[in-house]
Amino acid sequence: MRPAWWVEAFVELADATPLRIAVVRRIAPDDAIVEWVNRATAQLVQSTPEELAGRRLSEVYPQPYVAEVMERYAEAREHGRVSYEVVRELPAGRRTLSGVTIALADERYVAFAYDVTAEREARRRLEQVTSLAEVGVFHWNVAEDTAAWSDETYRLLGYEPGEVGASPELFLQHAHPDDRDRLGDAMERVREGRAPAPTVRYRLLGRDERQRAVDIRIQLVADEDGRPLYALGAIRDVTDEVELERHAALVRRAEEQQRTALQVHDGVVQALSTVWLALDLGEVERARRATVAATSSAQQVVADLLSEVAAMHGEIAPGALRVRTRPEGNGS
Amino acid sequence: MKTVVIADDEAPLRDLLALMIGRDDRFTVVADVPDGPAALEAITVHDPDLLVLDLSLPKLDGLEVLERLTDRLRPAVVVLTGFADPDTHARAVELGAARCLVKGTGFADLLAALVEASGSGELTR
Repeated sequence: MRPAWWVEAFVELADATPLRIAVVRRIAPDDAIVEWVNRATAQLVQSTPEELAGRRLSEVYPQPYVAEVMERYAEAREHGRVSYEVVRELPAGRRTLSGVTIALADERYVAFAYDVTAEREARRRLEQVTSLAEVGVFHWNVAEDTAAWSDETYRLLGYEPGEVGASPELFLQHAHPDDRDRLGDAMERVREGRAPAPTVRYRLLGRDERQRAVDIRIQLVADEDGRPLYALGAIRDVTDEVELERHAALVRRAEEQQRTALQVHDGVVQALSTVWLALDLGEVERARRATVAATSSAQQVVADLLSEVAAMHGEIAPGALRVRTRPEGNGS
Repeated sequence: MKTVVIADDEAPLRDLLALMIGRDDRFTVVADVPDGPAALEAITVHDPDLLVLDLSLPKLDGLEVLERLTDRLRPAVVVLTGFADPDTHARAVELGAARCLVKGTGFADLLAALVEASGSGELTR
């Protein structure tokens, strides 16, 4: 037995809550009678609970949606309850409703729904912004090992948004084979509640067979005892930057090689050519002087190259000067 | 007798080239110069039949010299370079050089190349 105040309390609560609640009774496969709605529900069709009570659903609800609502009642009758999320053009405006319909006795149904319009709109804007910035976002429930990916994250992995179920394991599978262990170790750190490195670069192999370079930044959120709750991640596509860096490195390398080639040419080849010509012309003393110049130039080129190596590596390591074995017949 | 200008920044080599070419009665060396601008100046002054041109030159390199030769003042050019790569040679020929020889291995062919180039050079001048 419920206490006497129970109904009064329910009505007050129902009127105050933003939750949309409605009770209907199906009278035919294509229509129902509205038995009771709370104030929040009546506002969706710019009406009042009193005005709606006892009227047909087909009279008070926008006609294009009635058939779909009736199908949901039939489904709830079959399964007991059914969850849904719908977008409706209603007298109160465009609304996204996330709700549950439960079948009661005597062809009655109770439905309650949250108005998630603002949340979905915020999410849509976030998707737009992150897509514009080419940044993928993910939420990783560490305790349950489940994940949610933004549309851009799907795209970075070569999928259409929502094409597959998001999961940490699937993400790891898309790491480049040479980076997979490193990413796996980083994920393991998160599972253990240890702070991940601030931003780390990995290569991803998309389902579309494209390889992308990405910078992944993970923030771990833990409870008071340090147990990991969830992690938020941002994935930035840096493929173009990496390609530019690689190209710039190639250009720098080519410039260095050109500089070295000119140094060898001007100092060594020219002098050896002089030796050659002097010998052809029987000018022995000139040939001797040119030989000295060629040797000196060659030694200078070698010294400059070794200085560059030392500057890059810090020192000339033992073994670095070992003479390479030459194929037989090419002299010693 | 064909007149020749030699352009090479390596002074000892330039002297030897002048010696070698000067020993041949068919040629007389009218100038030997160490850089690109001096080569263009010598061509303006002497209007030679032939130019022996190094490619690696200070101020203006040999390719730039070839680029700046005008139709009116264009001696037949034999490039004599330390660069042995075919791309560089092809570029020099594209810019009007009659022959490209590599220093060292090409010295023996230089006089023959000058004879050959001077013949074709007269036809084009």
